[in-house]
This record gives sequence, C-alpha cells and structure tokens, in this order.
Amino acid sequence: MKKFFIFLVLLFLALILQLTLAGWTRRVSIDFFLVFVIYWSYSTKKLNEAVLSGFFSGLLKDIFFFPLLGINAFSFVLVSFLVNEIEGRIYHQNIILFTMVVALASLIHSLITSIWLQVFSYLPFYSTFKASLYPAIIYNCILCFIVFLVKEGALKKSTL
Amino acid sequence: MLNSKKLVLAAFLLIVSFILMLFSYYDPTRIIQIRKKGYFLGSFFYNVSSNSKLYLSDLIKSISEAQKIKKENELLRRRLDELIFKERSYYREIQIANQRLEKLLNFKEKTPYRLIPTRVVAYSLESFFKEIYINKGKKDGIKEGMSVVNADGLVGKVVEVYSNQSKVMLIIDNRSKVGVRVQRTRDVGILQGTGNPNECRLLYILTKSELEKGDSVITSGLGGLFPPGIPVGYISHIEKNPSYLFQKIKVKPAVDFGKLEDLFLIEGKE
Repeated sequence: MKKFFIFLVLLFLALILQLTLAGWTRRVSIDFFLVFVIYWSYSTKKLNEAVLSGFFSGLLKDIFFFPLLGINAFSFVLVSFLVNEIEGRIYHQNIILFTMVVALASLIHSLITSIWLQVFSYLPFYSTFKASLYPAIIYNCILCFIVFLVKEGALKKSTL
Repeated sequence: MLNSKKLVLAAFLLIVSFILMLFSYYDPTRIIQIRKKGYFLGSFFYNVSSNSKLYLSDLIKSISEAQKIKKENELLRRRLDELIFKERSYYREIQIANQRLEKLLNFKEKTPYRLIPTRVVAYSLESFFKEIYINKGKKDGIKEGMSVVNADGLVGKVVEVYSNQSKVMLIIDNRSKVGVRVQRTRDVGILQGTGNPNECRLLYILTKSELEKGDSVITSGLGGLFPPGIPVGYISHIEKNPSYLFQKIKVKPAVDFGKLEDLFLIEGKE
C-alpha cells in the first residue's frame, strides 16, 4: 500500500514537472515520465509491477500530451519490461551500466513512438525519430544519473 | 530464461495499448473529452510556469541593465545612479512595449476581421508536434477551427478548446494543410507543414504556372477553414521538371515561429 502511494506521488510529480516545463521552454527535451518508468522498473524486483507502472505512466502521458491513446503506454510497457529484465542480469549498483540502460531505453522509446506516429498520425518516421531522440537522450541520461546518485546516497545514509 | 508466466501480463498490456491506439484513431474525439476533464491541471501549471518565466526574465533583464549603468556611472553619486537606471530601463521598456503595441494596433485597424487578442502560455511537449497553448478558451468564446494570426500573418488553427486555454496547431506542423493562393499569379494550392519552422511545401501547383521566387502566398479561403487574404509566406525555392505534372515549391513562412508572443484569433468579419 505504501509503495503504491509512493508510485502515485512520483507519477503525479512527473506530470507536474512535465506540464511546468512545457510552459517554460519552446523545446521540451526531458521526458520525466520515461525517467520515472526507468527508475521504477530498475528499482523494483517484480516484473509485473514494472510493466504495470509503465502502462499507467504511458497512459497518463498519452492523455495529457499525445493525439492518440496507447502510444506511450505501449512503448513504456516494453521499456519497463526490458529495463527490469536487464536489471536482473547486471550488477545493480553500477552507475555506468545504469546510464547505458537509460540510453538504450530512450532509444527504444523514440523508435516505437516514431513508428506508431508514422502509422497512425502520418508523421514522417525519420524526422520524428531524430527530433524525439536528440537531445532528449542526453538529458534523460543526466537526470537518471542524478536520480541514481541521490537514491544511492540516501541508501548509504540509511544503512549507516 | 524468461518465464512464460511473466510474459502474460506484459503481452496483455501491449495488446490493450494497441487496442487503445486503434480506438482513439477511429474516434479521436473521445481522447479530447478525457483530456478536457483533466485539463484544469494543465491550465494551472502552464499559467504558473509561463508567468514565472516572464517574471524571471524581467528580473534578469533588470539585473543586467543595473550592472551596465553602474559601470558607466561609477563616478556619480549613488542616488543619481539609481535615477539614471530607472529612467533608462523604464524608458526602454516603454519604448519596446510601445513599438510592439503600435504594430499590433495597426494590424488590428487594417484587418477586416473581428479579432480576439491572446498570448502564448505553453509549447508542445514533443518537438515533432508543432503546437502551442494560448490563454483563451471556451469561456472567451473560442471554438475549434478558429484561425490564429499575428501581425506578420497566419500562425495556425485552434484544434482543441478547454475552459480557459486552447491548443493551436501551427501551419509548420506535418499534419497541417492550408488552402493557399499565390497572390501575383492567382494559382491555388495546398500548403503543407514540414516540421521545419523555416520551410513549408506548396503542393498541387501545375508545372506550366509561371511562379517566381519571392512571390507572396496568401490564404485562398477555399474550404472555409481559413479566411481569404491572410499572408502565409513567400516562395523560397522552385523546382520544375517538364515530365512531372506539378512543381516542387518551398515556402518560407511570413511568421517567425521562434518569437511567437502576442497573437489574435479570428472571430469573423466586421
């Protein structure tokens, strides 16, 4: 129950940050929803929990920012599945590996959303893929890096 | 190895997502209805961030102005410094505001349409959607399909209306199509966005048409979506091939989409 409450609070925070940033800059580059999904999928041990978090985060993003429902939900389910699977196979506390996972997840997310936007909204695949990948991939990695450091720092403090 | 049980939920959610995509593709109004219900959040945070941005940029501007004046007048007394700073900064701000308002007023007086002034409050989340949010909505009488212009020309059209704000699709968006006319030759075509703020495509102009670089492109009014005669842009590139029926034409928009600030919504004819 406590974990579910934390999930809702963090998801709501991602929505607020995304809305605030949209009013702030002409070119929004950070995807707070994606960062949240990666962080949650990487932190949780349960795969079902990871994919459900991906699905609901994607759905919320679709409702607020996309012309079609399900595009981000689809992409985030795959991303959370992959991140959770990778997390179980690599050394959990390696920050370099974690950053590489974030980059890979951003790449997959851009690829999937660009394909669906080409199919359903007739947006040209290459330009959409390019625009959604760069520079978002760099900002996402930086933000995840910071989140990872904060989390690790907090963990170390609590074990002391 | 992946457990097949583990895959069941993920596969189920992927199928649900795909069904939702199909569902909203065939009935796009449903997602707009859902979005409208939760839009009070967007409206609130867009306003907060837009206003705080204006406040901060004013603050930064004033700080930099103050530093400049301090350097220039370092030998003068402190009180005199303050007076000079105030006079210069206020004068400059008033002059800029005056020029901007004069331009808008001239435009408003010249145009035969009833205009509703509005302001940009937010930009689209994804850079490949060329959309903006404006601070006028249903409460101000805004309706879907209304044209949005500024002093330079056509900006876009309203695609979604919320209670206090509206979403505008810019003419440079890939999905945007505008019926246009070349002002000099009267040729009619369709202007399609490319996602590039400096370039649109002009489609369906016959190869035999004698267009020239720099020719002005205006709205045709055909189709009834946009009123006729609104400046759209200038022809920047023409490519003719005698074996093709149509020319390949690029148009530079009249509006600078990097500096959108004060806009007007066209309500109807005076």
